[in-house]
Amino acid sequence: MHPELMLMLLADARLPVAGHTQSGTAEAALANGLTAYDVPSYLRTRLRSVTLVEAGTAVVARHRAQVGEPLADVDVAWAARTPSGALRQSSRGQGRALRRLAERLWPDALAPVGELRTPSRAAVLGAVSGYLGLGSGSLARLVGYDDVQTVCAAVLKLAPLDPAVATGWVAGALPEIAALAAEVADLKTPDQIPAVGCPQIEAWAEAHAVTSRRLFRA
Amino acid sequence: MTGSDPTAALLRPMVLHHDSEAARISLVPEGALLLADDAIEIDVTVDAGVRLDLVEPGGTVAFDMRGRRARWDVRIRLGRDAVLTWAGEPFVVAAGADVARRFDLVLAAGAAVAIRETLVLGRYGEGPGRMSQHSSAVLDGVPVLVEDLPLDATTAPGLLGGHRVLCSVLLLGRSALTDPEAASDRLDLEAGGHLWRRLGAHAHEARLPDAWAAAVRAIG
Repeated sequence: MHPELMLMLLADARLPVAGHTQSGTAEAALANGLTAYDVPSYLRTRLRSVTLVEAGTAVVARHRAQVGEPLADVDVAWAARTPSGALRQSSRGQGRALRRLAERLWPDALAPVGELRTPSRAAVLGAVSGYLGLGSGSLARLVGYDDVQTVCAAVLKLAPLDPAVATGWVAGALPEIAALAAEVADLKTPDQIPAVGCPQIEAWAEAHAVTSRRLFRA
Repeated sequence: MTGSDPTAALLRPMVLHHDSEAARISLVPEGALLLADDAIEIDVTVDAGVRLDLVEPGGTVAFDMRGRRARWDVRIRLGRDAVLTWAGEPFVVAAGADVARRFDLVLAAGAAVAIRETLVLGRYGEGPGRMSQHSSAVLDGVPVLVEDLPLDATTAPGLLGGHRVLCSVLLLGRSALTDPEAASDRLDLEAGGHLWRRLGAHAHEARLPDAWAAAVRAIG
């Protein structure tokens, strides 16, 4: 199958992996003072920190799956770079959903993550995308793009906005997504995974995990 | 510990107390810290089974470096069952400062560490300087915390949510999960241990006294 079509399939919000339950911590950010005006800079901050970590992890997981090496220490490296338990849990929930879908459609893709009890989303996505023939740059762009769309779609549900404005934010973030992909596309080993933390997003994610007043799980 | 004049120590380790199992040492600056071209290297080694408590007599200000840079590297090695506490005082990055800080911790099995630090971006009423901090901790051969914080006037508003002060307490090798005093502001690390974090506009808002007390209690 053409990798471009596979990329479209994985990037589509209609993929049944519960993407609609995610806000990329935007719900907590808006609850704590972020305004719609700040969303473009919020996207940039994510692409340079937590999403950079996720993209780097996915690229290294893809490489390991391709060459038949274990993924366990990739997830150890990811967890060491993700000090927030709320963010780890959210990633693992999404990893579980993607794994469930892949079990039905591409069961052979999951062999590399078989040894992991609760793999991160990045590990599952890395294994699946490699199996489906996506290159590492495409995978990194997918992670960045999905993150941007997740935040913008969630903000549209939380704040009264013209949808064209939100799509404009996505379009405006595309160069930043390309830069992220260029930074991580050639990574091969867990120690190379970027480690840029975002103390503010981590604090928001932790607060969101224990509130009952929320539309989005994370 | 060396600075821009490599023959001069810039931080003097002053022994406050020591016996066969423990030592308490104050890191006393000799002269102004931190200036352009300073290169501070602090190597801390605690052998198996003993305890070291490090304190600082006051905070540190990294001053305007007028286009030049400084570095502050800390390497910590703890032997089996060794213990380190380090009650860090505020590290202020004045406007115009450009500092690269590294914290590398390697803990053998059974070792434990509690470290407090407060980063302040800019003195009162001024903008932030530039500071990139790399931290890594390895416990019994496994990476348990790796973090880069590239902070400057463009990134700090996003990474720190518009706050000027980031206070952290790191506890590795022990757990404070049962300590109710220390539940808020606490990130529970995957490999056990905790990182407490609080952001604030001013240093007194971002203190973590309960977390520090809990971390020191957990160390024993």
